Amino acid sequence: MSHSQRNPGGPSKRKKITVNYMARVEGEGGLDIRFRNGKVEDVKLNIFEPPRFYEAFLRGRSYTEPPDITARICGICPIAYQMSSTHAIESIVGIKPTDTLRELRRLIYCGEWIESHVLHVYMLHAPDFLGYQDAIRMSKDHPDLVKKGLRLKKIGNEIVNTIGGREIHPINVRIGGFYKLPTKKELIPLQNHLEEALELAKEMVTVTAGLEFPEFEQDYEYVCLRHPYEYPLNQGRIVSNKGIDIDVSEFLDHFQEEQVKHSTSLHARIKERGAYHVGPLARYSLNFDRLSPLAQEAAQQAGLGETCYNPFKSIIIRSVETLWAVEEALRIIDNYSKPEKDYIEHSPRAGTGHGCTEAPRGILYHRYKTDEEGLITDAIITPPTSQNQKMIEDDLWHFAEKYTELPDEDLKWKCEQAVRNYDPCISCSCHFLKVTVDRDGKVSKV
Amino acid sequence: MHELSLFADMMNKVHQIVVENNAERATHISVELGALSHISPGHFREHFDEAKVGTVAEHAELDVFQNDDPNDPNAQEMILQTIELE
Amino acid sequence: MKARRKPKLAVWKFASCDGCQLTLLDCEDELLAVADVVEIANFPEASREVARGPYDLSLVEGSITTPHDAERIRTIRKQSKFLVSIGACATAGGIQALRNFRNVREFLSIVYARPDYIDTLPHSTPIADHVFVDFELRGCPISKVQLVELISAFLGNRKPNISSHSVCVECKLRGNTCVMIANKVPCLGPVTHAGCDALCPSYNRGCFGCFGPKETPNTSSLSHQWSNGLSASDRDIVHAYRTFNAYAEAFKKEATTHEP
Ligand code: SF4
Ligand code: SF4
Ligand code: SF4
Repeated sequence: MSHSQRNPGGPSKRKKITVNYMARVEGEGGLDIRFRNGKVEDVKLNIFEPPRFYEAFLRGRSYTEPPDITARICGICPIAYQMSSTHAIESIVGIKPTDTLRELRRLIYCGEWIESHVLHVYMLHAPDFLGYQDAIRMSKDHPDLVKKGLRLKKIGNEIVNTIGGREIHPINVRIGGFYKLPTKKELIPLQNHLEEALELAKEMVTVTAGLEFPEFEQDYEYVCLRHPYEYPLNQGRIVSNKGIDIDVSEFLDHFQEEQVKHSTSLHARIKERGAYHVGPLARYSLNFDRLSPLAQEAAQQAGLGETCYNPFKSIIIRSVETLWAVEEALRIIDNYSKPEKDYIEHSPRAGTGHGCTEAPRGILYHRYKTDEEGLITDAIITPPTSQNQKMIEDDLWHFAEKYTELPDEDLKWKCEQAVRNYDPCISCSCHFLKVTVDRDGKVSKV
Repeated sequence: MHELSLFADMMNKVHQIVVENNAERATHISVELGALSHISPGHFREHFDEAKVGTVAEHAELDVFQNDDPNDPNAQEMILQTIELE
Repeated sequence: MKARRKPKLAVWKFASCDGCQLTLLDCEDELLAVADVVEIANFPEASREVARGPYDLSLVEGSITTPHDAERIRTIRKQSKFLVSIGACATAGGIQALRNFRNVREFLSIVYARPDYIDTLPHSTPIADHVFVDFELRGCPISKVQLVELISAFLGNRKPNISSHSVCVECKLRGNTCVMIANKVPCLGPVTHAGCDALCPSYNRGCFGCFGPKETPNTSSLSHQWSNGLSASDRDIVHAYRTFNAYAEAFKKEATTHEP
């Protein structure tokens, strides 16, 4: 190890400093806001890592493995990954679960929507709105509220547990259907609890509607699934409020990810357009007519129109979706009768398959390529939260502009709230939000 | 691809040090790369040349050293060793 | 109980899916009771609050994949009276540890668009490779029952009552028909650590080992049974052992013996 020789001469004000500073992954920085002369010069959000490992590890694995492996991308929405992957693989091997198998998949997805939305609303978002650090502290002042939230979340989990085997990383989902179908008798206890859940969900809408919301609207391009008659879960065409209407297999023709300079994040954009917004607001605004009458009424009573462009009101929309999911679950259980076969037989095939389903946070797209032995040769997985990253960054830009005068600590809280509107799966974001504010060169980490 | 992040962090640090010392620019930077740091000196230099444009390091000379010892405790690190400022 | 300082509980996240942390939040019936007897000092999934250490009990989820993380866990260990790693990621490196097998011929035989890509992915190592761990709670995810038992044991100042016998024991206690004997379905139950109450066999499915190896597992005998009795190929066996606990010693060894 040798240091190059430097000419010790030169301008006398030159100074040499020994630093020995070990570089840190900026991704752990989270959010960087740069102000110059009181105006926002740059906002960089960098917390959502795409599941690169998984795309790589899936190569060489059997086509039956993605449901279990991709579930581990997210502990809060594993069903979404199981659904998107099974649909993608099933399109390769040429099978399509219909009728009851299809309904059961919607049922287990409803369970996840309920669990995920309630977790977010009660444990993370509502405390923010009401000024608490967390739901535990909130429960000291609002014990009933939190208990009810936990109860409703538990019922959502019960659905996943009953159909899937366990709440986190369920084991019963497979290519072609399920390993073991429930009997009608096994669903009866669920039915009773769901009646209870209906009341709790209605209350949830009322409670969230009563919160205070900042006036903040953006002209989003919403992207979601749209189905001929259902509020979208597993099937539909991909549509937007600005003209997109494509089959799931055309996803990559219209949406692309580009590497952002000097960071590990990718920005998803609509080709030749820009950032787009997926999730409950998108679904709601483009599928209001597909909601049940009860859910529609609850939404209207909560003060919502048929569309919504204020991301802070996502908390109400999640509550409305929870209500709809409870109803949908009841409907499916009412009509359930155990089919003959737990799953459709299949054999490996070479090909390319696409799957796009509505995770609680928005559309989740999977694409797989397999060979004749059924081994995966390529995998692409696009989670909703990484699709929203550019969108969130844009929102934060506008937000930071509004609140330049705030002290850094308060600015950070406001920014966190804005990020929370998108219900970022903390696992898609590998780190807790760390904010770095640079005002005319003075950097402070909050 | 963490080396891109690490790189960005290092550039920030350079900026910070220049500002803290009331200097105007960096004239020389020396960096040490560990044997397991996942980025080669050539690769690092490429990134640097691209990134320095418009920053306080725009006219800085760069010296990059590769430490070949994989058993070095800092083998996975990228270390900003010294900065010369004016 | 007399008024005593409440023990401080902290939950830490590394490279993980959050599923194991979420298990604590999924103990809906017990959560408020737990929150009553411990001070939840640091739990990012559930709270913005970050209280300073030292902590009485730290639960660590996720594996170590960056030098920064390695430093962070050392700091956490210094500040924690008891440190328990929870989940396959923390106890065995998780599925991210597949990256550790970069020298394995199997990986090289896969065609990559960017062959050097695999070089840029970090190693994934369990927590115990970096600091002393007081207890390892297995599973992907961990079991709610075992987690509550762990916290009770800690509060009761005793060792956790958690067996490391095989899934087969739970399977028989549950009265299941053995899927391997009856249906010729490959099952990792005989070598896998109990904790899930034999979930998969109860759903007519073979165990795929998400709780990792049991104590002294006889993997070579099981692989023998799989190849001869069930016509499993070497590749099937490698795939079976290389999932969420691929880097656990027993599973790592067994998979390596069957590589082509
Ligand atoms: S062990 Fe499994 S459930 Fe737990 S964090 Fe890791 S991947 Fe998630
Ligand atoms: S089904 Fe599996 S876990 Fe159950 S007894 Fe048989 S081998 Fe053991
Ligand atoms: S894979 Fe094995 S250890 Fe995991 S849940 Fe299934 S039976 Fe239990």
